[in-house]
Amino acid sequence: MGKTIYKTQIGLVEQLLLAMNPPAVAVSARRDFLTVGTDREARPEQVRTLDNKPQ
Amino acid sequence: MQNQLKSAHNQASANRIQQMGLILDHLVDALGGDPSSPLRRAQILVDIDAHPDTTQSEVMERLNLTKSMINREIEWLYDQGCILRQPSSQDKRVIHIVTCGYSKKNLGLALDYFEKSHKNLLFFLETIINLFTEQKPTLRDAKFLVAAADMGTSSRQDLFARGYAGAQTTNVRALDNLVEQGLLVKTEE
Repeated sequence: MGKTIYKTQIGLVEQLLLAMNPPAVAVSARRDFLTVGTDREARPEQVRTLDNKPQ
Repeated sequence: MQNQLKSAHNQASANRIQQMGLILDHLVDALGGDPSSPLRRAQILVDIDAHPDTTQSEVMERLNLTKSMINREIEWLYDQGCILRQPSSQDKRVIHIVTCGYSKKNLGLALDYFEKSHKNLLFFLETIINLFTEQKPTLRDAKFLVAAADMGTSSRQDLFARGYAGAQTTNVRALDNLVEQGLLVKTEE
C-alpha cells in the first residue's frame, strides 16, 4: 500500500490568493480622483470657466 | 519590539501563500493562542478593532450575524481578555467595546500585511470563510489549507508539522473535514 498524500483541489491556490488581493475598485477610483485633483492644481491654465473658455 | 522585527522579517521573506500562514498565526495569537477559534470570531475581533468603542449591535449589523452568535463570541472574547467593555457615560444600558492588550498587539502584526487596512483583513477572512462549505471553519482548518497550498503535495505528517499543536485526533478530524468538503484531495503515491 502506497503512502497517503494530500493535494489542494485544482484552482484552490488561485482562490486563496484572491484573499490577499482585495478588489481594486475602491483604490482605482481613489487614484482617479487624486489624479484629477493633482492635474487641476498642476495645470491651472487648463481650468475652464463656465462658458468653457480656457482661463 | 522583537516580535515586530520577526514579523517584518517574515513578511519580507515569505511568498504570498506563506504570508497567509503568518497572518493566521498572528490571528491565533490575538485569540488567546486558540487555533480552534472560528474564522468568524477573528472577523468579529477585527471589526471591533476597526471601530473602537463600538457596540455589540453595531458589530452584529456590520457582519450580518445572529444575536445568539454575537452574544456567544463577545462573551468568549471578553473572558479571554481580548476586549474591554465600558458602559456609555450617556446611557448605562449601552456598552462600548474595544480591543485591548495582547489581542490588539497581535492584530496590529496581522494588519501589517494589509498596510493597516482593517477592511482588507476582513476581506481576507471573508474570502477564506467562503471557500468552506461547513458552517464554522476554524483558524486550524485555514492553516492546513494554506500549508497544503504552499507544499503542493504533502503527507499527513508534513501537514501536521506545519499546522498548530493539538491532539492528534483533532488534527486528523480537521484534515478529514477538508477532504470531505472537497478542498483537499487525498490520494496514494
